[in-house]
Amino acid sequence: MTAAAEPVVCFKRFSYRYPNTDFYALKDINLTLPKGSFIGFTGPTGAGKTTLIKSINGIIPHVEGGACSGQVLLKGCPTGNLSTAEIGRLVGTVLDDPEAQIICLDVEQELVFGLENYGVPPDEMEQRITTALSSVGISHLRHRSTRSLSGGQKQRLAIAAALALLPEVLVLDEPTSELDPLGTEEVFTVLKQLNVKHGITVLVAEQKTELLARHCDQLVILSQGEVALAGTPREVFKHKSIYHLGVALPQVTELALRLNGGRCHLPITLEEGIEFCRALVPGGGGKLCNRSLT
Amino acid sequence: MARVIEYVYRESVVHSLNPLSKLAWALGVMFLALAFNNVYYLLTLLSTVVAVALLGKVLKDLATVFKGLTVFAGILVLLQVIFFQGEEVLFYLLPGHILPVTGEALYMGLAMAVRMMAVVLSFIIFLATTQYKDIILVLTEKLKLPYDYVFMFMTALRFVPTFMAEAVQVRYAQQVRGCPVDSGNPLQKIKAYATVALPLVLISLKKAERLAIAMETRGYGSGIRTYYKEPAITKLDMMVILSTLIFIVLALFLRMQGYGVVQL
Repeated sequence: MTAAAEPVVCFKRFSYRYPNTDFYALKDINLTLPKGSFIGFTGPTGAGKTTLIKSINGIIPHVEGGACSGQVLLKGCPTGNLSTAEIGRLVGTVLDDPEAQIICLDVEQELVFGLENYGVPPDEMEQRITTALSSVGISHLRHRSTRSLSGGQKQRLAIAAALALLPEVLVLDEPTSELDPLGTEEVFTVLKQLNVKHGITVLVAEQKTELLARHCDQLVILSQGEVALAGTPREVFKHKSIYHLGVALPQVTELALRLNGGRCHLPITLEEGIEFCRALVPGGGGKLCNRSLT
Repeated sequence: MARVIEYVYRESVVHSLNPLSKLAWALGVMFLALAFNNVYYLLTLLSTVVAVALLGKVLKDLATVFKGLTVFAGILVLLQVIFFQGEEVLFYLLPGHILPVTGEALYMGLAMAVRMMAVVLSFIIFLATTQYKDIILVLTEKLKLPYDYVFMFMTALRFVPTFMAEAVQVRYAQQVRGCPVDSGNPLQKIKAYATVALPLVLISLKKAERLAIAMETRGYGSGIRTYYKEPAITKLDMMVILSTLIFIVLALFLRMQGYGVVQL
């Protein structure tokens, strides 16, 4: 992957087995995730996405039992040697279920929870709360009760709560699985902004490849606990074996592949899809497409 | 039932008081209630508790609680009537001189019922007018109780409404599968409730695990804590605490003199 940026998370021959099971949920993972990147993990259910996320934020091996071999390095330090609290300073976590990760009764308190745990001075908290809330665009919800929020708002609150701790890495486990299309869009827009503006490394496990194609620099496809494919979304989607991995391609990509077998510049986003279609229509076919865009 | 012990947001003097003074007041009410068994004394105490609820603008919200407590109070009176052997028989519950109702039993039952209501209501008012975070703060920082236990207790309270909502969900899910949850005789009902209870327990365990993960990743138990906003102790708070103390001392004194106690 990108040679210039230093690695922030590094898997070295990492394997993991959940307690009371015989098969490995992760098998011999070798990955280097550079700082400041936006990386998507995808694959069918049971491929090991959640397990991978949990091994980055230290839930594995600290909270879940089980057996692991190899190492996960956070900025060069093995997760096994750090406590979950120490890992929490570096890695912010957002889970899939917006209900289950909200601990407190009101928005402000939810953000304060982490800050109080880490003993942040009260004077500094105010500043951090305001910044975190505004960077996910929910400043107006500050004094609301968490129960009255919508799914998308709850998920953005979960992101804000993680951001308040100023992490360098944000890991998200299917953050949009319980959200409607609008909420999904909200969450990914926020993630992209955080990545671009604040340089936070975003690692997201997600089923919706269309979203990943649009936002990610790198895409990792997991299959049965192993890294099946890795690279930029375009490289990955071009790969022939992708059809056997149980990953749904973005529809525009699928269209191009079926039409001419990927001999052209492969479209992966809607905009590129439109360009692709235009090229097919004699005379540019401009008007129709323009209307559908606006 | 769902809104038994929830914080109710209102602008009131009671809400703005420091949790510490509200806690002192609730404990004071408990002390006074236990000190006397004269129904008139206890009724006075109960009416002051109701007055505080009125002052805190939460009386309406506590209406359901009040109803439930009245039923419970009725049961208390009935139990006294059945089990307390008095001399002055007023009337009989059943024809043929079975189950005599004595004046003493009735009096004692009433005293007990009013006492219970005053104590329970005072604590419910405390919970309804104080935010959980402030309760946690006061219990850990001022009263030096261990944070883990306080947090555990308060989180348990906070999840009661969620738990209730989940119970309803599970019941519906079982009903649409043809499981008779709300029919039949009481024995069948109890049996049928097992089909609700088991999934509910499993769901809660799962939820607890997830919550633990969420807490863990946000640095729970990482060392020295700080607090965002500590509620200040105002002059009013000092007055409340002081007057609670005065009342307790006064009650002790009266009790020694033999006031407010009815010998049965």
